[in-house]
Amino acid sequence: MAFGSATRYGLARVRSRAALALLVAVCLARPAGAAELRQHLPMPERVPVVLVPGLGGDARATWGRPPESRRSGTGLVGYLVGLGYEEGRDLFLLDYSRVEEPDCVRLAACELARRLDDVRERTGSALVDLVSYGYGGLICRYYLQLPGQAAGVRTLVMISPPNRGSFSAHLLKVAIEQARQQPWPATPSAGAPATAASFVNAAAYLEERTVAYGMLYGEYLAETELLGGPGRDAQGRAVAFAEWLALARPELFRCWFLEGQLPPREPPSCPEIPPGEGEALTRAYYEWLALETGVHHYLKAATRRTVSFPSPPASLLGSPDLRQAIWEYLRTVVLKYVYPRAVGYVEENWAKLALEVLCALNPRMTDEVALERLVPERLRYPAGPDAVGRPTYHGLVANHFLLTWNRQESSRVAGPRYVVIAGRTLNLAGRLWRGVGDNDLVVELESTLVPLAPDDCLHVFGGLWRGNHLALLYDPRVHRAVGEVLQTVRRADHRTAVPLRPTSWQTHGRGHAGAWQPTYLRITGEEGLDGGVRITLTAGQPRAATAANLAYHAWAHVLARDGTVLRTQKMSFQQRGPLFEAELDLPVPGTPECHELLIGVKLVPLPRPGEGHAPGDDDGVAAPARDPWAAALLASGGKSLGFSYRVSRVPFPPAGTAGDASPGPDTPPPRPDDVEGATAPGTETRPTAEAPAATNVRAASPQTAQVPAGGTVAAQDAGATPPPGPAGPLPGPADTTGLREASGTTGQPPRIEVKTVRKLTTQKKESRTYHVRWEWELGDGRRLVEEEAGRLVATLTPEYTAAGSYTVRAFSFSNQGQILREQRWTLNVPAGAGPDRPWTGPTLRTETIGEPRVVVALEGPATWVTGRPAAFRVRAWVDEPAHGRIVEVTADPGWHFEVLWERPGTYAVAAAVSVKVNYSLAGRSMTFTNTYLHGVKVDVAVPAMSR
Amino acid sequence: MASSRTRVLLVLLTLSLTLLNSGCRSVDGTFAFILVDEASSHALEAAPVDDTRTAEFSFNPDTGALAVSRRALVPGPGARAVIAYHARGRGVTLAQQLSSLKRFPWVLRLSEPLRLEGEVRDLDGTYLGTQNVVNNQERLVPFDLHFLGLDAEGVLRFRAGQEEVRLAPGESWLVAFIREGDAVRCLRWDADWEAAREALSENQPLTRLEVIHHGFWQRHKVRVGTR
Repeated sequence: MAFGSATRYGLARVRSRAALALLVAVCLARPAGAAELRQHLPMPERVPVVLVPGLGGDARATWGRPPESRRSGTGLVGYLVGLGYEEGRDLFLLDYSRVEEPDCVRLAACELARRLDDVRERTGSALVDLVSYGYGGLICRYYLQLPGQAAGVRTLVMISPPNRGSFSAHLLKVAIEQARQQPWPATPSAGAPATAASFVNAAAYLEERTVAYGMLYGEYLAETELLGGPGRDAQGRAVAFAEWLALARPELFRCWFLEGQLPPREPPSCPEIPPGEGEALTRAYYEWLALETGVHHYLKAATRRTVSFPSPPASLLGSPDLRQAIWEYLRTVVLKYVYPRAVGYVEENWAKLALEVLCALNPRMTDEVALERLVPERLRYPAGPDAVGRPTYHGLVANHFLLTWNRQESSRVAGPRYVVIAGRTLNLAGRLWRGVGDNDLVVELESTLVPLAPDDCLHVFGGLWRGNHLALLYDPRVHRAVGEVLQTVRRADHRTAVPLRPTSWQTHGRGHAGAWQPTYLRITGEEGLDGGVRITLTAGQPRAATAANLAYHAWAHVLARDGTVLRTQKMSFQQRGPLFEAELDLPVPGTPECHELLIGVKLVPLPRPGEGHAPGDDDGVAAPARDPWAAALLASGGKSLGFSYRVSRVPFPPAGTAGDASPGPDTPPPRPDDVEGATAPGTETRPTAEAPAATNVRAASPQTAQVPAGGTVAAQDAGATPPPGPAGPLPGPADTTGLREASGTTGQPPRIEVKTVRKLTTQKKESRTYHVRWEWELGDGRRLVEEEAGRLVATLTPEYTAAGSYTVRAFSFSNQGQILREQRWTLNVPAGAGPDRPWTGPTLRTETIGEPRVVVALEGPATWVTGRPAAFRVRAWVDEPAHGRIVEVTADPGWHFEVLWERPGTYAVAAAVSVKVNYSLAGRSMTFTNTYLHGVKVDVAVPAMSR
Repeated sequence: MASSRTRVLLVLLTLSLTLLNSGCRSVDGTFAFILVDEASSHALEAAPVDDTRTAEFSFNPDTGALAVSRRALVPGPGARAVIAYHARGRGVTLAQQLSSLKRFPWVLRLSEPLRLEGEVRDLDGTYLGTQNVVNNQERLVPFDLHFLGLDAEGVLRFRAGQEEVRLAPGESWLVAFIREGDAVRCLRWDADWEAAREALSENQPLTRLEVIHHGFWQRHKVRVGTR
């Protein structure tokens, strides 16, 4: 059957259904487009931009004016020129269409490296921005993984990149299924120009192996599935086909089959690439494809069946109701023969048609190329035997670059900012083709997702057609988004080599807060900022439907000229009537060092009640793939609400004191040598009915007594019991001068997974032991109390008014009411002492143990994202207390640890430092362990934005 | 009429006898994991286009981890054994079934016909439509498996046809079936396996049946989610 007529037949049905679908969709479609961000962003001195085109490498075709068939307008180049960029000055286009094998990612990345070196040399800028489209995103990401290259890129904007493969892969999966039924090579569709194979004789190579592997697969099944011994292997699992090949047919298991499994190696010298290396990767892919194709060829051969034309029943002619019998027979023919063949034919040719369309749009795209680059199939490659001869294997995707990169990116903590622009479209093809869902067209939302770091963002554009991979390139919304990204400096760009041009104060403005990416307001002082700044944000009320799960968050960063963050403070929103308002008085250093303020505002989707979670795949059992960003993105729907801001200068006291909106540091425990020395004899201990001379001495009874001179003193000590501890006051950030920093071995940092806000990162409780008061018993019924925490040395000059022997005891009490130390003296008051002639005893002196001075700090991010572990570091400074020796300092959960949040929200992260001190005083030894807690609050959000 | 106290005692006695009779109980959330694996050389009638169906279960015998596709398949607290049945043909999974047993006896009906609907194509690419790809006639196991009990040592007792089999944890039982005329002959792994090879080399249908006692696994390692 001629393909042309079949195509017309298919197209006619497509058109009619498409028209109907369009009509319905127009009635249902929401207005496309997002509210524009209306704020005056200061214009930084430009970082040069390099545009990287998609598959094929033709820069003008990608970035120039749209084809006549599309809406009129300008490509991204025209838009950027309108913003003031100039080609050759700060705007450059990469064209890699003339590179040998332009679809080889390595060669294209090397071409990109050459171009960027050119750009840096010409512009004198150490940094460049990259904007890519489609496959160009993979080239850029590959380039960034080459050693030393990431530092020279500030931002990578990827428009519709196939970071996880693309729907072309879905289309092609169907095509592959067809191809599996057919001998290779796949016939290029009529109308598409012949293109070079990805490597020489790829098609013949595959065809040859397909036949061989088909037969081998039968042997494999027989030997492993059907004839193997009990359990088949030690684990009772069947050996995979590739493994069996390696073991049973080693001569077929060529070494180059393994070569292609290696991760991308750094080219020894870019742009030179060792000959054959790219080919090895391609061969490995086709080896896998041959295996898979061989498998299916075997299955088809073993289970061959055709749809046969149903024969009329023998009883047809003899049927009493001939008409009815014929009608039934025809109905059987239609249902069991005509309909299956017709549907199959349409579906088959729809796939071919779609492929033709794609090939027509990009003449260089061939089945082989697309298969090589875009199919996200997962497979197991044998990795050779282990020490005891058992086969080992590891998993790879057909395009193993994608898996490797995405996995590496998941732990990325430094490097360029990623901005991913994706589309979400109502896919009309899904109405016509079973198995194709919404958002399944070319390179759509799910395939663009890549693990994002906190400063990254994802923009999603929708529409009937405009969110389509092809249409995004010419969408003015995308152009504006790219322009804004290029002109906005991210929160802390440590690698900014080009100083920002200062602009005047922005005193007020408006913005939009999204649910995904913070909206940053950038306020720059001409001569630096000093004194104080008052920031007021006023936001509208989230809509009723969303009020239950959206909340405003805002924070302010004070940045130095080099982009480092000097200070970060959170702003709290209060509801005032229908509005939410947050106000922050922010002190800034009184030097010109401070350059700008960055104020971030966002809407935080809070955890929904009853939200479940997907299990992990520990224990080697596969779990369903779950992308937290995709789930959050799709669940939230991209709310964006407006807010206004006002910034004004306020007179401010020196930094760190009154007026500071954040809780100030707690007063640290006093150092032992801060304790006051003994007071003058008699002033604090003369018991009278009047108020005591020293305010911190309280007479336990109104009785008086005097110790006449000459009495003897005998001191005795008593033991003290180590107390258990209720919590004491939290130590806060404080001066660590004179303290030594404690440290511990780290090893693998523990990772704490947090699902709810109630999760504690440390189970330890604050527990401190320290002296709080002295109590004196004078032996005649009098009791004196000195309540002064931290006064470790106490003195007393007793007076007695009657002769006799008195036992004076001094008790040191801890904060838990336990006796830390007891000391005794025996005073013999000679005869003759009386009320009118009191006897004054010697000054008694005693001391107790002191608490070590400990300062704990917890370093880590104040804002983070879900799904990525945040690293925290515990630091502790201690000094030796009086009569004590630090034995051990430990941290819980560890000196370094990681926290992984599953859901957005505000979480507390706390760490505990335990200090074990061995005291030795007056011949006695005591050991106490004090535990100090320190906590921080972390705002956790999902790292994406939608409009 | 018995007094209320007597009635209570009778009920307690009955419960105790029931518990004693049921033999080994699951202790501390463990269950015996039993795999019944059936592979037939000729049971796959047509090649499905899409072989990416979600598995009902998957497991790792090294770690004792079990993943199930739905929460309903998670063994309950009283489950003493989990029977995982896996039928395949030419490398294609024809059926999977996971059953949690709180009590014995229990029957795994291997004689019940399997049905696997799928879109299939022929060698020349002809689309055959959606049909059942399982040829139940070529599944040669002539009996059901009757699981009789699990004793205190974890030994599983089951009946396969006329034979009663005892499997201790870690052991497996393996047989194959081929046609001989109108009858089905049972081949034993340790005695008749050459006959199995010969039958297969002559392209005669063969069905392999293996029961593996994977020992006691912990309930807390059961996850929902398979791929």
